[in-house]
Amino acid sequence: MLRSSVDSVVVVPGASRRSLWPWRIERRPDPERIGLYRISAVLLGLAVSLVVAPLFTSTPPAEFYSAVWSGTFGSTLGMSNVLTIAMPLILAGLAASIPYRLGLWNVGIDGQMLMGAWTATAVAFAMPQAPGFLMIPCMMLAGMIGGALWIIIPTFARIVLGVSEVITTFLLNFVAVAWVAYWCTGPWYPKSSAGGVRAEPLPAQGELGKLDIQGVVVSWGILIAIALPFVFWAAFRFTRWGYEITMIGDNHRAGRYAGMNVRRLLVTSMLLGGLLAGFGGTIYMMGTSGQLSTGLTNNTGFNGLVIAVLAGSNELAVLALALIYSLLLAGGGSLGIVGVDSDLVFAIIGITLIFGSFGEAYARLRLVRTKSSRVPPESTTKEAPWTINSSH
Amino acid sequence: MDYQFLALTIATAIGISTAILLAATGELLVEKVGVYNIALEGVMLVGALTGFITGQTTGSWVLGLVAGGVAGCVFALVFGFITVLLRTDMIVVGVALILVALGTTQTIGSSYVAVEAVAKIPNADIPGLSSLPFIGTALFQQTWVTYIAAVLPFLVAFLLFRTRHGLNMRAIGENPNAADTAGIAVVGWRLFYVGVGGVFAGVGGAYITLGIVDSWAGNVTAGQGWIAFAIVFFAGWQPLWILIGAYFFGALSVLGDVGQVMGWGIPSEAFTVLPYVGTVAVMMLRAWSQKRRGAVSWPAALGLPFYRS
Amino acid sequence: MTVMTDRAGLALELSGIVKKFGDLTAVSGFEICFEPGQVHALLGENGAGKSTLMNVAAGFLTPDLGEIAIGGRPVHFGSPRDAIEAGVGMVHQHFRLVEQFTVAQNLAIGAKDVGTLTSTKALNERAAEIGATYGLGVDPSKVVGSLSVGEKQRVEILRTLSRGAQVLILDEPTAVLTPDESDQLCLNLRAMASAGATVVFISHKLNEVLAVADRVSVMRGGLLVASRERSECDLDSLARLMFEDVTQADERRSARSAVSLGAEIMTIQDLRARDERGAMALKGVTLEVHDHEIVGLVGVAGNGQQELEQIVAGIRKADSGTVVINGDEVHGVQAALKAGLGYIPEDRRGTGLVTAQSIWLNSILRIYKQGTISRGVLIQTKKAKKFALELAKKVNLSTADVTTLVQHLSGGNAQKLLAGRELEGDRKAVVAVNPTQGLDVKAARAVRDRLIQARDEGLAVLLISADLDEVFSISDRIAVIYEGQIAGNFAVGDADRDEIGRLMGGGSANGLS
Repeated sequence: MLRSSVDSVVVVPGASRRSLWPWRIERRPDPERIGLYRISAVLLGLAVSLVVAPLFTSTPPAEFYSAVWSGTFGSTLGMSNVLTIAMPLILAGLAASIPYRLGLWNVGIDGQMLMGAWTATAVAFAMPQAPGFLMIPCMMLAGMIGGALWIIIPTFARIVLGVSEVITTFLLNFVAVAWVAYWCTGPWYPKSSAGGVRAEPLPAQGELGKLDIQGVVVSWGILIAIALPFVFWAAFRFTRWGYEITMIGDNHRAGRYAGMNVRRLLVTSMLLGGLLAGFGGTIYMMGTSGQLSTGLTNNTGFNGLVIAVLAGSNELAVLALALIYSLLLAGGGSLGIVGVDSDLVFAIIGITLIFGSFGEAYARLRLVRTKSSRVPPESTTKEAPWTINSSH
Repeated sequence: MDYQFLALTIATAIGISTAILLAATGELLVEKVGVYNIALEGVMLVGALTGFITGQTTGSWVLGLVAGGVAGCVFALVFGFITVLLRTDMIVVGVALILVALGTTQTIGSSYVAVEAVAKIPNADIPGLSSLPFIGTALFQQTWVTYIAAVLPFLVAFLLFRTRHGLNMRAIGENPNAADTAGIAVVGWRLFYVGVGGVFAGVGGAYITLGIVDSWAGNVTAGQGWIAFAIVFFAGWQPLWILIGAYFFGALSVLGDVGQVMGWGIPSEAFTVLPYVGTVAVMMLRAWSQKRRGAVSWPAALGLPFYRS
Repeated sequence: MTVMTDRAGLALELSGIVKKFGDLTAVSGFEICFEPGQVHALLGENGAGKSTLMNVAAGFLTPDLGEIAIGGRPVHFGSPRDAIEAGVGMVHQHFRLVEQFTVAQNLAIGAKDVGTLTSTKALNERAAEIGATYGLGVDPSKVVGSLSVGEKQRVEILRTLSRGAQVLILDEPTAVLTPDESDQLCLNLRAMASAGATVVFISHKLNEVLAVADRVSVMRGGLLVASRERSECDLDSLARLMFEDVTQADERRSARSAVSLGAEIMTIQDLRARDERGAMALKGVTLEVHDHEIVGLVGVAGNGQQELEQIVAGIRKADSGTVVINGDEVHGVQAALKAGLGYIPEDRRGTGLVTAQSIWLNSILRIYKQGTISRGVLIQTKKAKKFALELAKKVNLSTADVTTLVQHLSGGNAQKLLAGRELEGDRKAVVAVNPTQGLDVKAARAVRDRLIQARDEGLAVLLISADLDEVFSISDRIAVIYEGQIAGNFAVGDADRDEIGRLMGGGSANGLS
């Protein structure tokens, strides 16, 4: 037998604000194929932005697309451009994805690339008469060390003090730019200034030679860049170190449980990130302009981070995405010809990342229809419906 | 020591800090309810450009600031919807939105580069106080925006720590499940404050183009959004420390000019980096001292998406 | 002495509630009514659907089908907020309190009768008033994080009641309490029911239910199997209703194989250690486990078990004292492994297993450095997979595909894998912590059998558990841990349940506290 509701009633002003919205977002019980959804969403985002992009500019779409085409597949110059852009981008992607495996964010890749290039330049200027086969490896080594050194302080801050590496790595980007700017406008001021903040060009032996494959010209550094993802993929699959990093992931408890030296792994992954970034900056400089400059990286680091996040913990995906983004950037670069700011491409990259997030959200969540009703005000009282007056 | 010069320097420092202060105060509110708006830099950029264009076309700096605030709010809410509603990763989406902001503002703003602002924000000398020697020039010849920005942290402190609503807000940031069970609309308030943070940062951005630099350039915010973000961290989420932190950075920024005038012979780049190096150093110091004391003061649920469970 | 004010509470009626999670139907639709003025117990084993059902009733989950009626009126809840405003409140096992706030602040969150401007004094006064109204004493100015579990629960209950909950649902409330606190809670609940509230008490413990309830409803497999007045119930009939067949309910100890006590394998000597906050968690723990022996260490969670388990396993360093396993003093995980220690941690999906990775990768988690699996810097994938396959076969894993990700395994299978990994190979001893928590009866049985088998094979087993029944059913010796010290150590034949219960709560062995 049911009792009726409370007898004494008081209407409480302003009570009963309902959730009138009939939809709710709920987690799916068993999310699957997250990677697939992510990548498809990225490609969708790409398609959408390419369609929408011309509208932001005053260029007719036909010109827009033909510029993009000729900047990429449509010409050997375009393809050379694509591969040249890919070279540092792949490395930037790796520089972000390796720390990312352990849940660490390396947002300072641009700065590390610059510092790597600076260190290499310093070494080159210190041995200007050295033969090429000596100078080039020394420069590469210097670049790696420079990049790694630049990430040491944020690493220390994070591992020992718990300071977010997102902010520390990022802020050091600005410091790197300023540092390089100082050297370019001061001690290394070029004898013949060609515009932009640049240093004196490297000695000729310090420049990387180029490959010529049926008209597509690119520095041979690209070979290293393409090989490295495979190397790391194999390392993570087959070595003990790789196993440890894979198993720790971003939950470090299992690692401690298994007796792994979690701190050491965190540090090595960060240093590796800095090292790869420094290397990337160095071979890019050696393979293209042959001059240190503040504009060397042009946000490659940020793009690398985007790629790493989208690729998940998969180095081969990093390679693939880097190539796709290189196409995008090359196409965007050639937009300058038709009067469109090539920075528009950054917006497109950002949008693809957001689409990727949407894809992931779609895989993890679902929309559920709920009903909620208004509870008539009479049943809400201000006083306690029952009380205990006791000497407990 | 030229006192007049010192006073002017202090005044400039205060003026420069305004944008950071506004953005940081807004971000404080956002983080107190548990959201990391890493895209702060992007929000400021959007506000900066919108404010500038509105100022150019309408000739009114007031409208410019308002437009900046609105644009910032809209942009921040995009971030809010994608992260709070769709529970995506805040860092990823934040970085993505900064890229989007960079790209679109560069493209749309390309025709405005290096154009001088038509509607600059005028100084509003406080009658009486501004004619005081030294302090008058240093403190009381600022713009209205600066005065308001200086007062805001106190208002925010009051809201957070002395009102019922502030208690509820802090509950959302510390334990959203507890707040949810207690009947607080977690998602709704998070979105609301992301929007509010967007307004503050947007106005801050517009202030840069209309009140400090007085023109538009590619990366006109130059990392101020990031510094504002960092200030919230090392201010320990306390409004009054944010005030101090923001002015500290203003001071660091003008140190470069001071150095040049005083002929200290230090390259200007050294001063350019001071704010950034300073932020990193302070964050590390603070973390170290907190570690020793064993205290943690951040909102416990910061950065974690809210799922009802 | 209670003076009851006679008011009518609200009845909660659930009809036809169906809730599915993917393929699993947690609740399958039936009628049940909770009347005011009663403590109505919802009884069932783990996984029977009790929590799911009541979460729906309290607005935390939305049902796929079914109706809820409060006081005769049908309602729909889109959120816990709706439920509270209709008068239904739920207290979960994991409290929804802001640890950093004081009691008074927690009671004020989201409350409508708090002024716009809050002062500490006003909040504290309000909190004291609420405590007095409902007869639960609390100190308003204390920070919740510093309270004992029982006190936190009281705050949680007060918070629910002060929002106007007339139907109070508690999910396994005594799981985290000492026996004394449990008694106090039951008294409070009975008082509330007498005053007119509707109290719903979810539990899987038969004894408790019989002690506190006026009415008992038994759920099994998502369905309601019986609903009776207390007077009509007894232990055996309820047990028979709870479990599919009596033998499962009858968790009597398996006869111990007649192997005499062997050598001392695990010796823990005068262990002292601090916890994260710097307080002393272990104040001189001494314990021995012999081969062919299961020592059950029982105690309420938070009395030093976590620190103890971590030190023995080598994850944590002790301040002083030693742990000797198989003759070797142990410092660190690698040393413990070499000495032959297996470790089944409580946090099986976060620490013991990496759910995002495959079965074979998880299988070698503890042995990947050994020559059998790795050669130099490389891990030999083939050997690892073979090892994993053998392991899976040995434990009767539901799948033979060792590339399946662990997150796709059921709780029982994951625990089988974990236990198997830790008990296989050249182990001399094992530490198992709450190994059957959250598992359904079949899976729990399998794990317990495995532990018994390990003991019969000669291992020294240290079972750390908060489940008195489990400890009684498979241990050879029972030790009690309380506030970082061993409060008692008995052979299972000499152990008296009540005495153990007292010791767990800090009482002395003779019943005097």
